[in-house]
Amino acid sequence: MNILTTNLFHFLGGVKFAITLITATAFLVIIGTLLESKNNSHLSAAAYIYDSPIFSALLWGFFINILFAALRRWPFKKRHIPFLITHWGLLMILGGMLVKHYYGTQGSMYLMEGSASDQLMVANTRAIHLEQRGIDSAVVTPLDRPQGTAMDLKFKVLKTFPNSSSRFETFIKDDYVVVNEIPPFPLDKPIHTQLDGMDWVLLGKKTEHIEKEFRQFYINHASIALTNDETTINLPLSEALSHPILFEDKIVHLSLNVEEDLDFSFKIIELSVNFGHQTAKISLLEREPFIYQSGDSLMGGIGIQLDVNATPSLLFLQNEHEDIFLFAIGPHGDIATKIYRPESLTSLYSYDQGFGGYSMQSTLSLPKHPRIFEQEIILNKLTEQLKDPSIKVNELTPPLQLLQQACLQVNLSFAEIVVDYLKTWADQGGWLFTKNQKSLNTNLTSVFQAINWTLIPSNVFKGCIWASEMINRIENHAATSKEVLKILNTYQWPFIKKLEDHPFSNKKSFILDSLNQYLFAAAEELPFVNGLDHKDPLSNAFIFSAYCRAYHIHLAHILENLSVNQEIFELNLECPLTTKFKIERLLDKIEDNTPLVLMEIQKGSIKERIALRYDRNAQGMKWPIFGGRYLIRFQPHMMSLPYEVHIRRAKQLSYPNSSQPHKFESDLFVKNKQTNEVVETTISMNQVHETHEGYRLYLASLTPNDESNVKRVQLVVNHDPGKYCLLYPGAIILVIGMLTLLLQYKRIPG
Amino acid sequence: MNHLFVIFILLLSACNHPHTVDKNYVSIFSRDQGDPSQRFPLYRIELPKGWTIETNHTSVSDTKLPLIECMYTDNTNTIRLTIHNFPYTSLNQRVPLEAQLNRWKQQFELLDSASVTQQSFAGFMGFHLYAEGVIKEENTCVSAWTLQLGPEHQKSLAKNTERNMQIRSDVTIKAIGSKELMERKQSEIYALARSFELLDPLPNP
Repeated sequence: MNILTTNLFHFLGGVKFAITLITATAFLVIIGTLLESKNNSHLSAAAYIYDSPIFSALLWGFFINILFAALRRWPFKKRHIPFLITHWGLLMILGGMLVKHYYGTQGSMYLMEGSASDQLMVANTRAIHLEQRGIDSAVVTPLDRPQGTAMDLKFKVLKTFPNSSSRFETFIKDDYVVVNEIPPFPLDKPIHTQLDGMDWVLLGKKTEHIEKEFRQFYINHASIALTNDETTINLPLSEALSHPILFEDKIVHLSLNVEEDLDFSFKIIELSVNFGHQTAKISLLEREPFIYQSGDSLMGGIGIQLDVNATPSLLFLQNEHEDIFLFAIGPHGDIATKIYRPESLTSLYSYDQGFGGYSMQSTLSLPKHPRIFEQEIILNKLTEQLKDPSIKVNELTPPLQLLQQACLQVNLSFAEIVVDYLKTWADQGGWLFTKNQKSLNTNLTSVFQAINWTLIPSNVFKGCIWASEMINRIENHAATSKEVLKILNTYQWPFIKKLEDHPFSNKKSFILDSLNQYLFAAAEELPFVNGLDHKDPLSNAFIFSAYCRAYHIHLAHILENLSVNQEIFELNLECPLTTKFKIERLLDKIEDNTPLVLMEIQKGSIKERIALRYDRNAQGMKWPIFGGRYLIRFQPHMMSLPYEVHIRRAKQLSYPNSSQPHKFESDLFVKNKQTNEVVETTISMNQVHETHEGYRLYLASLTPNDESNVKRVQLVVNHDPGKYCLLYPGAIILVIGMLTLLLQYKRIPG
Repeated sequence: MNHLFVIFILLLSACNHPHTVDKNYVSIFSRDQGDPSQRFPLYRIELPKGWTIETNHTSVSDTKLPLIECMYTDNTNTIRLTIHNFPYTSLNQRVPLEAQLNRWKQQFELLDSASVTQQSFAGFMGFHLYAEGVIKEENTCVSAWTLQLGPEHQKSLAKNTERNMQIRSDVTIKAIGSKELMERKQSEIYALARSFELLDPLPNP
């Protein structure tokens, strides 16, 4: 027995055991390194190697080997001192490592600027966070056993899944559309209901073709009205789109344009009207100030007005990725859209801080009045501005001064005549006022009959006549900017090259405007035109429009600078927020796995089951249980630190004259809870704060890195209790031991 | 042995001792509801050298009165930096941040330039306005912050207690002075405003 003990003692303190340990450790470290590099996961290497019992046993083996190697020298002599010092140092270092392994702390703190906490989130642990309604403090209970109790609840883990994913469910849940205050209704079956005092049609659908479904729905629920001064045609949109419409003696072509953006949201939904040679577009997503706008807005309207009406509807469409597209169609055909993606929430409403559950809220804004109503408001506003008595005659532009004189002569309101003329002109379309007898009402006829051209310089009048006649001839033969340029080329217009090279050469209004300016500038050199009837109101209104254009007076110019507060009605929709879990394959990189637990929670005799997904940062939502009496979350375990950390400020420092960050730092107050001593410090990526007890605080991350929101800081806290009493002294002793060994060998001759 | 000594010295030379700078912190008291004895220390700022303060010890129940006024006086010109807070009991009593910016802009008889930037510090978020123009026929510059606590902090202070009302108040910091002096002291004004913080930490949401 004695021999066996002696042999064992010698083996444990011997070189063979040391070599075995070193080989085994080297082997495990190689595997650990390969594992870490293969999965790009430190956690995998730690879980399988460094935190494994085998690795702990090896550390203990080293401790025993070094201890016994020293004890084998018993009885100690003077020459053993360097050897013993070296081994003492090694034992202290190993002791320090073992103390850290069993009693060390490592975790994270997530703090918002301005707040303080002493709660450390221990990484890679599992716990249940519970809150009771009416009680401020929360309880975090470790989930290291399948059953436990917390507060007055018993919980049992029924099943654990190592990896899972989750998605938010909003308005469409399984095969139903769920909107608060309306009973859930099945997909594919439209219902009629009242929302905010208006009758609505609601329909939900699952489809891979969102745009097609929406287009079809809109076409089936909208109608159009085509009008000019004399005729009105009302048609269902489906009919208007299916074939050309004969309006008076011209053909109207209508199309519905829908364009998606890169993120699959809808950037354009518009009705395009082709009348004669001109096209007007009416945006259904966002109203524009001038409603009957042609492609070239400064040209005015197209001679026909189009308005849209629709059955107020809500269309919920879900695609294959479970994104929900909500379309709200207003009574005047306007459309508001929203997209809800299952991986991110646009707005969240928590009832009673989460105890009452969560909901998704959405506000859709739609114009209250028909398009024509808003234009009338703008025109009234313009009339009021022109009626302002403080406006002096000489403050008006020359064409308006001329018109004002004519109005005074026939005793008609100048403001109303201006607006009437501009509106009539804009509705006609065309760059100049059209010589159409129907266009002039009695008032306009009287005013333009009374217009006195002798009040303006004769050269200017010549300019008006030449510009109106020439541009009218060109307009009659050229529908597009290209055709205008072609005519000017034929006439060998001197500045044609300049016009052709201009970036706006594709805009007809720009070319005609340039031509107008040239003609007015060169009017002095042009011959006088005889044989004009200066008392013909229609002819005067036509010539006057060229004069107005020379001063950029046209309704389109004015409306660009006049805004009106659009009256809208807001439709507030809300739906309960739920999550849908999916069990996923276990990934090699442990950090990427998110476990899911199925739990049974019991309060008295009542049992409730809930599935909870691991919230790694303990920052997400807490879910209500037992009718909202409790909140629960599956998260890492929390431990109290002996310090309270107050994040005063967190900032990103950028390079001078650049937004590129070069440093992140955070100002802290660290308060010792026992002594109430407060230390003011600043930490950054490379500047760690260490407390007297050896708690080290590192700045791990800072979000957002701009000034758009309150910053959230992640601190990593590390505590090694054996560092100052074992590890560092051990290292010094080891160095001293090695130096004394070196000196001892030097003294031995040879 | 000599080599070892040199290595030892080199190793020690890498250690540095954190140096501390004496900071001139000034506490700011809360707003009362008529009785000045109700006021309690609520905020803190770091006052740069050369600046003086004027604390109002009487009642500041009227929100037009500042909680504190900091001043910097040159030979002839003065910069006045005032801090106001606006306690509220219901959400509709709050003034939107944008409205505050517009109000400041409208105080100019002639506005030469104005720039607005987002701001976030010490748990507050909002905007900074830097505007130059004419006020009362003088070339004036305004550097002003309109701030409110982040929504998470607001949520944790939702209970309507007197203390919570003060803590969750919206805040404005406004410095006004001659264009030349304001330009010269711009960095100090910025540092002073950005040193503004609540004296007691908020609970971590």
